[in-house]
Amino acid sequence: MTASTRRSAADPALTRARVLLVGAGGLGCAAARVLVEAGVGALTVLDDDCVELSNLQRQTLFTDRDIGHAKATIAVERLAALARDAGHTSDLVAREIRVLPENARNLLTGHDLVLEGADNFATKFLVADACALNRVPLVQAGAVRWVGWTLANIPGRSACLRCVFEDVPSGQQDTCAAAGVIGPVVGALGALQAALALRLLRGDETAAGELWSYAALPGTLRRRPVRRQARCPLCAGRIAELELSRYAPPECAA
Amino acid sequence: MAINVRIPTPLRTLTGGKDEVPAKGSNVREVIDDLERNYPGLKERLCDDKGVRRFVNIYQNEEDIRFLDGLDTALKDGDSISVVPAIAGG
Repeated sequence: MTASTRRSAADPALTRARVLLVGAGGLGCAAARVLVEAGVGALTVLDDDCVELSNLQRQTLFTDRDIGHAKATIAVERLAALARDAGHTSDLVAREIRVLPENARNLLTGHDLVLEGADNFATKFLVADACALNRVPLVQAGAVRWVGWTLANIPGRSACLRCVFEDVPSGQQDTCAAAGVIGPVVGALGALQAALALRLLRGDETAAGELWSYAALPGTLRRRPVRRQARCPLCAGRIAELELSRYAPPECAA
Repeated sequence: MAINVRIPTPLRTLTGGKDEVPAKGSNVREVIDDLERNYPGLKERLCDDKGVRRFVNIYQNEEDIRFLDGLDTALKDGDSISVVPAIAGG
């Protein structure tokens, strides 16, 4: 395919889209590549971590020489090169900050969709809450070892993270730092996230409301319908502010 | 009723590494009790005093039991039960 045919393949619905990526880890790297190659008009990459050696097996935007450098900045450099090669004009912005209760809603401003691939439950629930309050569609995912999930949500229209998993789990949970995660799992789920995001941006609301579960061992991909829960505090409007106490400390720093 | 139970990776330490195990019961509650007899400790990972733990989802075939009759959801021979926990890594 030539550069000119790649350029013409970009969908107008995508070239207008402004996407916020929360977390440039394994999920975020995989999803961002696809979104930028597809011609998404603007992508903000938000991550406050630096690249570590242990990231490289799954975080495909980074190489050895990036170790110690800010993920958000390096990711945007690599994505800019991909966009250029594909003939797309993408507005790519790096934000080297962590999403927190006090800044979450402001960070969402100006974006049409959020794609979340953070490495801890606190951030996942915080982003779910902020997107619901700001009415921004959201595609989330999580992965550990050989398994993971992804879910797209249109606030007020489909099941949210709290409808499905209720709240930040108590007690010891597996995290990618402690348990590890293999590259193909975040690669597959990041690509699935991107597919759900592209469907939402093109106006396909049926992308929302299904929980996808992927298990690389033994090798299954399941899609289950999930519905809004009457007792969900977020959907019922009982979460009106992002209070710090609602979110447990981050559990996975790598 | 003979039920096939799909065990998620984090709980396979309790099932000797098996990803699917057989269990018996006429509803989800009985199946979980049967699992506990064969794999002690499993029930605590799935349920608390109030019922199914938050951040754990249980499906009868492909339907969330919260939208059926919860732990009292009736099962028939050959049904599958899947346990889907929340996972945070990325």
